[in-house]
Amino acid sequence: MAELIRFGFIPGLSIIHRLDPRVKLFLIAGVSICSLISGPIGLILAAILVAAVFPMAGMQITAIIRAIRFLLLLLFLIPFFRGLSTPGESLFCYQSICISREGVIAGAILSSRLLIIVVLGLVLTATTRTSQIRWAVEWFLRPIPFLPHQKIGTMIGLLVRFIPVVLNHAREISAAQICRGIENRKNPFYRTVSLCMPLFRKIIVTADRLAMAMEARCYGDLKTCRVCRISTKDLIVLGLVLLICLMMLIV
Amino acid sequence: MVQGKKLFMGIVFIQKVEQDLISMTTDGSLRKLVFASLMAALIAVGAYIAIPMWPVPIVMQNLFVLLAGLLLGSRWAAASVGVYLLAGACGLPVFAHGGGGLGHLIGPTGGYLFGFVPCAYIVGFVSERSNQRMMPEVLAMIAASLFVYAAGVPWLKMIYGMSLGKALVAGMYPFLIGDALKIAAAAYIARRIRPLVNEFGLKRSKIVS
Repeated sequence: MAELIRFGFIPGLSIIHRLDPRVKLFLIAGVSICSLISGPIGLILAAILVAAVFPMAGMQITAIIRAIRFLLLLLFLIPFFRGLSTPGESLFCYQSICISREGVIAGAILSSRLLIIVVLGLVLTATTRTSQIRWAVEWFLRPIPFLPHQKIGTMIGLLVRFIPVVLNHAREISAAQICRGIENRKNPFYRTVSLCMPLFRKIIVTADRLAMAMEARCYGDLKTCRVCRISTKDLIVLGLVLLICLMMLIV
Repeated sequence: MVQGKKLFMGIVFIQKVEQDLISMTTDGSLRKLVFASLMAALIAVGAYIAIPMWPVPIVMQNLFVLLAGLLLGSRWAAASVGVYLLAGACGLPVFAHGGGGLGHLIGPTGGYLFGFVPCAYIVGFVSERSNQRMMPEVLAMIAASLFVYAAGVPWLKMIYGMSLGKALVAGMYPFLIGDALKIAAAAYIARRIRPLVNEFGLKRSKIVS
């Protein structure tokens, strides 16, 4: 089902792949927040950082553009709409509708902020396995009281595991129905219902089996966790990126 | 002395594990957890089936959020949507067009995503108390869908800097017909799926215990 999930984990041995997932998650959240607050010069710094990270992560520009093309369109429209709605020095006029310069600049800054955050998210997706992300989330949620971090971690793991299951079941059922001549029925409502109902039945049975298997294997909250140590390399990267964040905020 | 202490700690740990296992497997919370994860996965699959429309794509997410509320009840439905958002925020590819990351949550359509949490909670809250009657549930679903827009439209307005009227035209009116269809579909599916869920999933462990 790789065609539906256009952007997933890309195996590799780069420095970003080998970073501790907690450090990665923390840094990406940090840079995202800083680029929301910082001014234009800080944004250029963040853009340089992102451009430096790209080749290391082993991603291709075309793949990224294909993955976020729709969001990209949305982001390109922000300056246009900001220009329409903000009063100021007019840049371009058509009859009585004017696009103001201030609005376009403000919109461009906002959309480049969002673009940096989106691309950083893609870097994380491309270089971190699901299990690592899950573990890092669990680790970050641990100090928060009244929040069952193990359950949340398990749910994230199960969520990612269930997506291909659902898609595969849907494909199987639609193939089986095509074999039996569902194409002859022209009514789209009938076809949707006859696809959905067996699909729901099947995935509920699958979920039930999974729950039973987990019960049989004595699943509980107090399971042993994986152990991961923060190395010197992680600390160096942490320090460097935090320095860049600080510079972004000051400039 | 130290060994005795270690042994004692070991016994305490085993007792904790036992209590934990008994509570999780007999009160059906493990089963609910698995089903909540399943609904979260369905929401993610619903996000992949997106019809690109400007500025907010038509997605099947709403349908599955409503369905999560109807099938899981308030708390687990909200947990299911919350975990979905958390997984997306941490960069797992679960949002529209297989995207992920904080950018989607902060981006133009982020408000709708946050609006799903109260939406699922309200539907679940009503369906727990309405004894599975159709009418209150449909009303709850209509109210809950309005909550999604109450979060999504001001967000869209803020990011694009549009007027409220324009934001409504771009981010709410085109979807109302689709929402009515989704609500009808959710009510229909829930009616047919519920016996199955009760048989296979959420009630079985209660019978055993």
